Parts: sequence; structure tokens; C-alpha cells
Amino acid sequence: MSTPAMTDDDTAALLRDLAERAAPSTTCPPDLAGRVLALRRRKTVRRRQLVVVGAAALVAGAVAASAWVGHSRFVDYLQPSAAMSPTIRLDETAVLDRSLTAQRGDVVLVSVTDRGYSFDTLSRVIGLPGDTVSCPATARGTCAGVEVDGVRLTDPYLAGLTTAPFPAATVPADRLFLIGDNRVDAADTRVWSPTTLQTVRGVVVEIRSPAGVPRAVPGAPVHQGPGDDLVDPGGPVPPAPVAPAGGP
Amino acid sequence: MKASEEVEFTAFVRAHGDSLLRYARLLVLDAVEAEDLLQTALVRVSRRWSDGLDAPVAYVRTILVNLAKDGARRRHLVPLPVERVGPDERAPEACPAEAMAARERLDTLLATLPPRQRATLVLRVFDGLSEAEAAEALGCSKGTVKSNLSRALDKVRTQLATSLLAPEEGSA
Repeated sequence: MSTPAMTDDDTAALLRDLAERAAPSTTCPPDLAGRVLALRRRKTVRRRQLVVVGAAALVAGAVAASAWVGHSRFVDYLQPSAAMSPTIRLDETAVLDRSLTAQRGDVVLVSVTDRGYSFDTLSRVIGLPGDTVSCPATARGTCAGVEVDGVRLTDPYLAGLTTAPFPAATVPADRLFLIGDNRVDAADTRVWSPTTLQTVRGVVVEIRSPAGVPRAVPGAPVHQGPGDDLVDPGGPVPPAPVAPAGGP
Repeated sequence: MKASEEVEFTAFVRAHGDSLLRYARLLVLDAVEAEDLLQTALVRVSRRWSDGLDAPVAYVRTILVNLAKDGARRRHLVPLPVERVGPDERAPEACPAEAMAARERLDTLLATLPPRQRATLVLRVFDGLSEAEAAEALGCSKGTVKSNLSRALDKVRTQLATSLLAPEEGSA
């Protein structure tokens, strides 16, 4: 029968006695220390390998990122000046393609070093190396239009702004003759000199208004903008199908 | 871990392995689990071995209690058969029959205890810690230690009453 009157101390004593007698049945396996040490070593090695792999991945990622960041083909440039107004107004964004070389009529972003100052500016390419650019004065003291190698430009993008006359200059090699569309106010090759250092940073392929509406660059050769390769080029409208002869 | 430390560690496990495994055996259900528990505890100790531990045995015992106590959180997710605790198949043949019988009986008595009650019982009954010491070791209040111990002993008594061996053992 059970013993209902058993106290806590009795129970504890019984358990202790049992544990005492049961002790010899439990012996530690002789290789336990070796097993623990092997486990420990494996963990250390694995941790070191993880650290090495992680560090390598980090370095590779950083190198890849530094090679990739800032090297995309198209970049945006927020126009901070009125030199190209009204083609590109203040606060509008010019989308540049950095892989193109400048042609006549292109609007380009150039880094200019003039009398010790360096700055970036958007301007239009009027003359390429070897061209002679001039704006001869008429009898009334004004200039009828910019001439390149004696041929007058039509300049449909000028919005009626007249150009002050300037003497003829031949564009040296590796230089461009740049004139801003805002002929009255723009600082460009007319103000600097034809030999001023210029580095072309990109050719404008698209203009975006502050609201984000894109439009092409007036008066410039057509270039592919970002995302244009995803859309079929607009072709001629196909002719309407011919109605079958002998109809009602 | 340096080679000299590994030798030191091996000597430590050889000297105290048996007593530590017996301690672990009190804390968990069966021999396999006890060995797992001890191995986990020893791996943790080996991580700190280079720091020069003052009392490695006490350190291992603390880890064992903590692991057994934490087992409560996992065991209810993966229930183990606690109803029937059979004889230990892995027990060595040289083991005397009397010790094996005592072990089986002890297992039967402790099998129904949940991990925290079991850990409390081990600390208070087998280690002889005071209520305050046990409360600190288990991270609970003294009242919890008291109630856990009382419940554990109640369960052991119930188990004693229902077990077949009760009359001959409990007649003292």
C-alpha cells in the first residue's frame, strides 16, 4: 500500500537514496572529451571559413558597386541657368547620353576651365574642329545670323533673339565652338576663347519639364533616349486594306 | 584552444565526466538526452576554457540546469514519450542489476515532472541549495521555488503510490 503520511523530507531522502544507488549505472563515455573537442574544432574552422568568405564577398561587392555606381549611360542634369532658354529653361532637366560624341547642332554638357574657374554648363555645338564661325556685322551694326564656313544657319530654335556680331574664328582641334541658345545673355565661346579647355560630359538626348514631361531637343540631331529601345520606332501608317472587288 | 588547454580539458572531462553525467541524468528523461545535454554544456565550456575558469564543475552544472530548464520551451513543441520510460538499452552490461533497478525506479518517479519542477527538485533535494540560491540559479522568485518543489514532491509521492514497487520501498 502507499504511504499517505510521507513528509517532504522522507520523499527527498528516498530520492537521494535512489540516486545514490543508481549512480553506478551511469558512466561517462570515454571519448566524450574528444567528441566535444572535435565539435569545437569543426565549429571554429567553419566560423573562420565563414568570416573569410564573408569578407571576400564584401570586398567583391564593394569593388563591383564602385565600378557600377555613376557609370550608367544616361544621367540627369538639372539646368541651373538661363543660358539655353527657351530650349532648356531654368529648372528643367536635361537627360544626357554619355556614350555619344558631339555633332553639329547637339546640346552638350561641358566642363569648362576659363581663367582659373571650372564649371559645368549646357551649350549648343555650332562649330566642330576646323570650322570657321563668324557673325558678320551688317551696315546697321547688327548681325543677320551666325555663319559656319560662310553658310548662314537658320537657327529655328532661337525664338527671334538676335546675336551680337563677333569676328570670325577657326575652331582648333579637340575644341568646339559653343553658343548658348539665349544669344543675348549666354556666356559661351564668344566670351571665352575658341581655345578654352572643354571636356564634353554628355550629349542631351531629351528634355524633361519640372512636371516630368519629356520632349525632344529642338534643332538637334535625333538620338535615342533612355527606354527608347524598348519601344518600336514610329513607322509610316500602313495603307488601309483594299475592299474586295464585286461587293454590294 | 591550444594543445595544452585541450589536454587540460580532456583531463577535466575524464575526472568529472561521470558525476556530471549523473547530474544531467537527474535533470532530463533518459540517458541519451542526458548525454546530449552534457555534450552541449561541455562545448559551451570549451568556448570559455581559454579564459581560465575558477570552478569549471560549477560552471558546467549551471549550464546543465539552464539547458534542462530551457528544454521546457522546446519539449512542448516536440513531445517525448514520458508515459512509459523503459530500461536503458544503452546501459553497459557490467552494470550491477541493483543499480539499474534503482535507476529505472528513479526515472519512473521523475518522469512526470515538467522541466522546471524537475530542475527545482534537483537543486533543492540533490544539491542541497537553499531556497534563495535555487531561486537565483533558476532566475525566479523564492515563492516559485517553494511552490515548484512542493508540487514536484507531491507528484513523486503520487507516483510512488501508483507504482507497483511502492509497498516495499515506501514502507519505511
